[in-house]
Amino acid sequence: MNDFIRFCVEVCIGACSICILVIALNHSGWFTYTERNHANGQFLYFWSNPNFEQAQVLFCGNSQVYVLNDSILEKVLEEPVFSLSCSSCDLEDLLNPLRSRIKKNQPKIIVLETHSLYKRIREKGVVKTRLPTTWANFFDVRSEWDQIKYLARDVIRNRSQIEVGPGWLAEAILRPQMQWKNGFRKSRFKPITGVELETYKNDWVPFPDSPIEQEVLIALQAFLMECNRQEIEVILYESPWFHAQCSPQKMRYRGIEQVAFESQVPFINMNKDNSLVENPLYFEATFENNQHLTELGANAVSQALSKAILLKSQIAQQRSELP
Amino acid sequence: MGFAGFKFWVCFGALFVIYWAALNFQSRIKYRNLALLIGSYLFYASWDWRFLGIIFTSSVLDFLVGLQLEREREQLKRKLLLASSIVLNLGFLALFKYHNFFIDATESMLGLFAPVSFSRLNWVLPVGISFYTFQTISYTVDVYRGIVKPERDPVTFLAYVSFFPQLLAGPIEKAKTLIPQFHRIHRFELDVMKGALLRILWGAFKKVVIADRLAIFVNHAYAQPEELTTLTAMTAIVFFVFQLYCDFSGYCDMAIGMARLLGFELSENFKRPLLAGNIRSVYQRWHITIHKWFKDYVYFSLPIHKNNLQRGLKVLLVFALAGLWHGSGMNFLLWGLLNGLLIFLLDPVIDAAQRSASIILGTVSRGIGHLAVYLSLVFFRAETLQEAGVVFRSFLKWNYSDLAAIPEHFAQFGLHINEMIVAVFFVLMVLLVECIQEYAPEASVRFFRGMGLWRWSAAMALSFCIILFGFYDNREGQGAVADKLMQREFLYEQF
Repeated sequence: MNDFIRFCVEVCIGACSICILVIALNHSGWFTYTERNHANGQFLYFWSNPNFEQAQVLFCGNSQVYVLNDSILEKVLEEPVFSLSCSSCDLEDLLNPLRSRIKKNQPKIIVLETHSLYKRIREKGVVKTRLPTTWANFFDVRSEWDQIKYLARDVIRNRSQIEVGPGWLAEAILRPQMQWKNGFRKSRFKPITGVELETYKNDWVPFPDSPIEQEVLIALQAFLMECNRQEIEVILYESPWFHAQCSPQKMRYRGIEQVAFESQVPFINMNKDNSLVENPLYFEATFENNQHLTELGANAVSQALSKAILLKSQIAQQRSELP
Repeated sequence: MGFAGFKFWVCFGALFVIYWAALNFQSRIKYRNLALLIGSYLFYASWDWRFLGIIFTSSVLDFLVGLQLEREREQLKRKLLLASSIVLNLGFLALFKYHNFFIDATESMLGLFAPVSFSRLNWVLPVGISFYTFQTISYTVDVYRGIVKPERDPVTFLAYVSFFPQLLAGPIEKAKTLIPQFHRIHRFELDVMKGALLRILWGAFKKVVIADRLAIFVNHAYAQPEELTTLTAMTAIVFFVFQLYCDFSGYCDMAIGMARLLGFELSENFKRPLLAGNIRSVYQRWHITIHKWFKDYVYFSLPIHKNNLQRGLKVLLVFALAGLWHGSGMNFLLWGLLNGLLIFLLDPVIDAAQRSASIILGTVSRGIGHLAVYLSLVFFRAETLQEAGVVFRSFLKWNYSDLAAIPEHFAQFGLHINEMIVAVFFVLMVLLVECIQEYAPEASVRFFRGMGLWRWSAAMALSFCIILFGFYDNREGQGAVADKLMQREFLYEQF
């Protein structure tokens, strides 16, 4: 009987060790690090980065932004740049750190990517690893696996990313500071190739056109007015998506263009540049209604965007006025 | 509710605790066996409660035949009793498993004279029927031969037939090895239990991490065989070998480990077949219990052969039956016949080459033997002979751009190339472990008897691999495509 009890105890210790380790790794971001969806943690890290304070051009937005090539941006703009962006973050996530940064040290230009102009659904009380809190909650799940998923949801969901992007896992463990020196990182997305192109031709459901929520537009306008009062230039831009990815975004652009017009800020819509949107090698092969730039695409967009910023902003003009 | 389900392990955990804490005592041995029987029947009913009728009828029939065989002294009546048991058991199997096969064969034969058409039966095949039918047949034959005494306790006999760790896909246990274990109480040996747990983890690792991962590629390949090219067909064939091996041996590891946790010892079903020296040896190491069953109850029941030709015919017959045991299709029959022929024709060449002093010749001949077995598995995996033909014809579709297109090919069905690289890495790991067991057995003895830290680390590593690299439902993003191609059940459950 003693052996039996000892065995049971050892099995329980083993099972608990595994659970604790998985949950600990999960919480430390091993499995969700790629998504960078913990905006607060990410921005706290930016605050500790001296480059953030010194940057004169801030690129803000979500995952569409941080894959841009900072070397190209800095070379063309001749100003220190920083990416204040993280996966899935919306305007509300961005405004607080932006305001704090302006208060502390005013940047010359804020470049805001417009895919972040939406309102993320914020579930109350939801933490990354949800443990069932009531018996009803415990049994009211679709399958037994869901119970495991509550314990290590992100591990199960993102497990293939461990294999698909082993570099990301290494990055999550080692957290190389160099790569994050100014908030940008190299795109690891694979381009659209033959098979995915076929998908676009045959049974692709395009990303729908829907207007930006009024609440978001009001918040944007208020922020633009604040910047205007403090003489900070703001440029809105829309990162390009592959031309077949979405249906014409008429209602979406109407809202942005109206706010840009009323606030007197330029809006650079890169989806109007055919040389960018028609090259499948510039875009991530995705089966979802979301798309990112590949390294090649990020280089091309960085080049085009920095030139457009030079044209639309007063940097070049100020430089020519210098003695 | 299979071994791969979470619910099963919760139930098994509860049974394990009750079993050792309250049931495994001399005074309660009947209750213990009754609990095992109820547990096994509940487990079986979780597929479909109607299946219980078949297993119960078959078990009761053989229980009664066994008792009657002991009482009966007249040889003719004994033979009749045995024949009635075999016919009824095989009748169940024929009815549920082979009805459409027989209808097809009859139609083809009669079709030579005039076109005929019979209606098909669309009955569900009861899981594990091939396994427990052969187990009960072995019991009545052994009682008839006087090898075992008939079991007098119906609960013990029913528990023997339906013992849940081996109910679905074996190992097929003979009465003389398993029934006595129901009559004695078991000792809880800590080291044995730890070894059993490790074995379950090893089996789950092979199933969830390797077999399920390879299954997606293999299922896709065989779903659209006309799209295969030389490279993808070859990959599908090799992947299927490892999928089948990891799936079935994984199941057996889990079954043996689980039985061990309850104090029972089941027969080994695999003994590193991928390292076998020749084709005969492959089948002496692969699904050992079924091949031993055919040897004991079919091969040795046939008249003694007087020459090599007669021996060859006996081998062919046994392999043809073994092929048909796996499934009711001409492809399974051909697979069995092919392997019988390979043993008869190719093995002498392999043996001669291995006896020669040349290591290269020995290795090459061994490789050829394995290759022949692997290629024959195309008939095993394909649904029909025509489909197998399409797979073989795709060998002629060589295209140099295939190599570059591999990642794209995987992406088609929601797999990333890295996921396959991981699969290959884990397959190599399994082979490495098997090489150690085969060529350095003292190292594995040291592992199980030496410092516990190694076993603890191995258990932790396996658990982590199962959690992090196991293939489960509800993959997201691109991976969701692969969900449709998943192999959730164990392959041998369908036999």
